[in-house]
Amino acid sequence: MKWLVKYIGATILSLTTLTGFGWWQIDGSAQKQQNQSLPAHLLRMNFLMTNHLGETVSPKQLLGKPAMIFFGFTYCPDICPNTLMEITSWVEALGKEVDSLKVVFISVDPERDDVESVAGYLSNFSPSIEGWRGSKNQLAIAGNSLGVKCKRVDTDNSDYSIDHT
Amino acid sequence: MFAFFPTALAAQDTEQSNFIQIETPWARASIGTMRPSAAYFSLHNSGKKTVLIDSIMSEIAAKSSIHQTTVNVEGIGGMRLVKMIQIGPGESFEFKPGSYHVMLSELKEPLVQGESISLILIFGDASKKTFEVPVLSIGARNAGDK
Repeated sequence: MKWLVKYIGATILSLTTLTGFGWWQIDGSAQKQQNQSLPAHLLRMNFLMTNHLGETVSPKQLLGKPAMIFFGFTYCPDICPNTLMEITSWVEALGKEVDSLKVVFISVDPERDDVESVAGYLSNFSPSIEGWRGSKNQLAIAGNSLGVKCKRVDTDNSDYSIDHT
Repeated sequence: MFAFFPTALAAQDTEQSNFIQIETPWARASIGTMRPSAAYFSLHNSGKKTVLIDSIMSEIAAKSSIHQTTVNVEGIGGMRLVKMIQIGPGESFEFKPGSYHVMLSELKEPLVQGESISLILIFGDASKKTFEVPVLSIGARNAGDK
């Protein structure tokens, strides 16, 4: 369970997160990475987003349970659904134990992903996966806090993709 | 007329499309028409010359492009447009999740699980090959999934 975030104790909060392209361990198509240490303490993270149910959420929602966070976007047709399905299979394998885990998808494309589209996208995967969407600024803060990078890259004439951790 | 007939036959024999076999094609169901989808398959060149895949088209999408998902040493992943694919004699080339894929965007209709779409490979010599691609679920990871 390398991919799980370890959260230990009520006062000692630590978070290791499998962010973004966690599929490297399954597909073996990317270079294996050392565990990334996160720069910020959960209680020192300060960003606000809206979840797929329309509720305001913050890093405080991650307290108290191990959390797995995946960064992606709904215009990603290849690796994002593949990874979300991978996560779905892990979550299903956990059975009832999944209630002791927090699984969050954070959109890196607030320009095209609104709350409704994130909700619609996630309806194809495990209902245990929450979708968070924040403004560009809030996403930047979340990215800095969690050690995640993302950048818009033009692909075709009028299209773009998001490079991200 | 008779003079052209053998020439036409000879041209067909050398067309790149005749030397490519397509295996395990599948496409991912789309979320409506607003979000892009992806298609995957394996190609095998049974000919004695290198074959170039110049582009791929589909009637279901206004835009079809060959993309490659890549991850750099910092763990940052992204998609890149691929202009052409070269397959040497006797070699195979695989489109698969997390790697090369056909990105179908500006969809005219949604890709519905259980149905199929058609793709057209356009080769370096302008020959073409059309084939059927079954649509699997949005969470499918290979041609053996549903």
